[in-house]
Amino acid sequence: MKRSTHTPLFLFIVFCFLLSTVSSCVKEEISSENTPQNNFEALWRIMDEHYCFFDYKKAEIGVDWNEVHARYAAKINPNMTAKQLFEVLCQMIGELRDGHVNLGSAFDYGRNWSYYEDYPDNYRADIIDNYLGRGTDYQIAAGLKYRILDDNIGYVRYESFQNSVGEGNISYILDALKACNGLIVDVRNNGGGNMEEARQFASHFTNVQTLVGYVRHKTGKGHNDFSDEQPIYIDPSSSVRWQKNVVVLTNRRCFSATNDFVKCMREFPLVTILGDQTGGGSGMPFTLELPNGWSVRYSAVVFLDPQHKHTEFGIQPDKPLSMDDADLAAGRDTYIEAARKMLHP
Amino acid sequence: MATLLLLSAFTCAFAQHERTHSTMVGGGWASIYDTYLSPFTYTGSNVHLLRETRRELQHPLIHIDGLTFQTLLDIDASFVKSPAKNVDETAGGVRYSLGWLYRLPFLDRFSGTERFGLTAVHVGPQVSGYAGAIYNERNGNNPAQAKVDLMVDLTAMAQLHLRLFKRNCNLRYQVAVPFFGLAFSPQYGQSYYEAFTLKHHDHNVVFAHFANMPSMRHLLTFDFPLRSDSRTTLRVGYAGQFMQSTFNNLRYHSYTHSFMIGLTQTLNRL
Repeated sequence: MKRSTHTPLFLFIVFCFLLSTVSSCVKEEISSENTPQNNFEALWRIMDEHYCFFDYKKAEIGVDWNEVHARYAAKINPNMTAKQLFEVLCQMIGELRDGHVNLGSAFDYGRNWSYYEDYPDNYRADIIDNYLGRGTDYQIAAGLKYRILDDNIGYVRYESFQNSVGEGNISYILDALKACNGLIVDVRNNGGGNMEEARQFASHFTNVQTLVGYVRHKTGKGHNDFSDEQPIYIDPSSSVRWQKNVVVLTNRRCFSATNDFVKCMREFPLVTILGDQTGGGSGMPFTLELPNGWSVRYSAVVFLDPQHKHTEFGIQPDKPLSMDDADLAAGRDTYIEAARKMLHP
Repeated sequence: MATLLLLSAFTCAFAQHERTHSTMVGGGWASIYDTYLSPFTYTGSNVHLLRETRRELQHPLIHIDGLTFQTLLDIDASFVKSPAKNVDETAGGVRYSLGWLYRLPFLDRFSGTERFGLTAVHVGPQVSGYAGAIYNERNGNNPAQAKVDLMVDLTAMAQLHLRLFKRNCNLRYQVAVPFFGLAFSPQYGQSYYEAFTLKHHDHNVVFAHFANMPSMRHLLTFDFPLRSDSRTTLRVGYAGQFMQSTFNNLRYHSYTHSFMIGLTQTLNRL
C-alpha cells in the first residue's frame, strides 16, 4: 500500500501538541516547606489573595496589608516554637478584626472576637428562663423555644442557625402563637450558622418578594478583583406567614448568619430591631491551610445590604437599648420588657 | 452524558465485525491539587475500574477501511492526604469516552507471521465526558469541588505484535489529549451557595482547550492469551492520567498512576 505523504507532517503536529501539553504542568504556587518563615509567608499570601474586605478594612480601621507584612515579618525567626509562631500569626490576622478570620491548630484556635468581647453582654440566660418558665411552660420545636407570655405576646428564642429547622417546625410555632398581639424574636447570642436557615425563617415575615441585599465574590488575586454585585431577594414563604408586629432582640453576639437575618428582617415593614448593634461578620468564610497543617479561615464572599453598604461591623438597631442593672437585679430582662410595651396595642 | 449515549447508539447502527471487550481493575498513586480547596498538593492512593470495548466498523454506504469504534468507561477514586497528613481528601468520578480510531494505512505491511512487529497505528477523535468531585473533610463553605467536562480529544494508539511462549501477544499504547470542549468551574472566590442556591452564575461553564486544560491520558496494556487457541487473554497494564486545568484563576491537577489487571475477550459477529 502506498505511504501517505501527509503522515509524517501529521505525526509531527501530534508530537508538538503532546510536547506542549507535557510542558504545561500546573504546580503549587505556594511552597509547602514547613518552616516558620514559609508558614508566615503562606498565611500572609493566602489572605492577600483571597480575603475580601481589604479595601473596607483599610478605610474603616486603617489596615494596610503590606505594612502588616513588614511589621510581622520582623517577628519571625527560624528557631521559634510552634506556639510562638501561632501567637505571632494570630496577632497578624487579628489586625483585620474579623470574627471569621481564624487560625486552627491542634492546641489552640486563633481568633479576634472583639466584636462582642469589648461590649456589654445585654443578655442573661438565667433571666430568659424566668420568661420561658420551666417544665412544659414552653415548647421546643427543632431547637426553637417558644411560648405565649402572660400579656398575650408571643416569644420565640432562636439560639443558633446551626440547627436544621424545617418549614413545618416554623409553621407550627407561628400557628401556635397566632392569637398573640405581637411576636418577640430573640436572637441574642445567636452566633450564626446556616445562612439559608436564617433566610428561611425570615421568609415567614413578608408577603412580598423583598430585596435584602447584594452579594459579590472575588474573581482573582487582586484586592479589587470582584464580580458584579448580584441582588438577593427573599420570597414569601408558601406556608404560615406572620401578619402582626414583630420585635427582633439583638446584641453584639449576633454574628454571621444572624447578622444576615437581622439585615433581612429590618427590610420588612412590621419588624422593629431592638437592642444593641449586631456583631457583624458579613463575609462568608472559606477555609484553606498552611504547610504545617494549621487551618486558615477567612472571609471570602461579600454580602452587602440593599443600600450596597457593608454590615461587616454590625447593624444598628432601630431602637438602641441596654440592659438596666435594676432590671437585672430584679430578674427582669430590659429588652423583653421594652418589646412587650412596644407590641401592646 | 446524553450526547455521548446518542453518539454511541448512532455508531452501533454500523455493522460490526470483531469486538473486543476488556475489564481491568487496578490501583496506584494519586496526586491532587485544587486551589479552591487547598494551596497544596495532596497525595495518596488511587483505584481504577476500566471497561473497554473496541469494534471494527463497516457500513454499506460509508466505506472507510480500518475504522475502529472504541468506548472506554473509567471509574476512579483517590484517597489523598495533605502535606501535613492531618486532612483527608477524597476524589472520584466517571469518564466515558467514545473514540473513532482510523488505522494509518502505511503500516499495513505486517503479515502476522513475524515474532515481533508493529501491527497498527490508529489516530482519531474521541468524545469524552467526565463527572466527578473532590471532597475536603475540613473545609467549611468550600468543602468540595465538582469536576465536570465534555471534551473532544485527539487520541492515538499503537499496537505491537509479540510472539512469546508460543502465544500471540499484543502490546498496546494509547494516548488521549483533550483538545477543546466545555467544563464547569466556580469562579475564583465564588461559593457553591451562590452558584446553586442563589443561582448567581459567573462564567461557570468555561470553554476548555489544550492551553487551559493541558491534559493527557495514557494507557499501556499487554495481552497474553490464557491458552494458545484462546480468545480470552489476560491483560495487564498501566493507566496514567495527567489531568490539569486553569479556569477562572483556579488551578487544578490530578495525576494518577495505576497498575491494572483484567481479562479481554474477543468475539466475532457473524
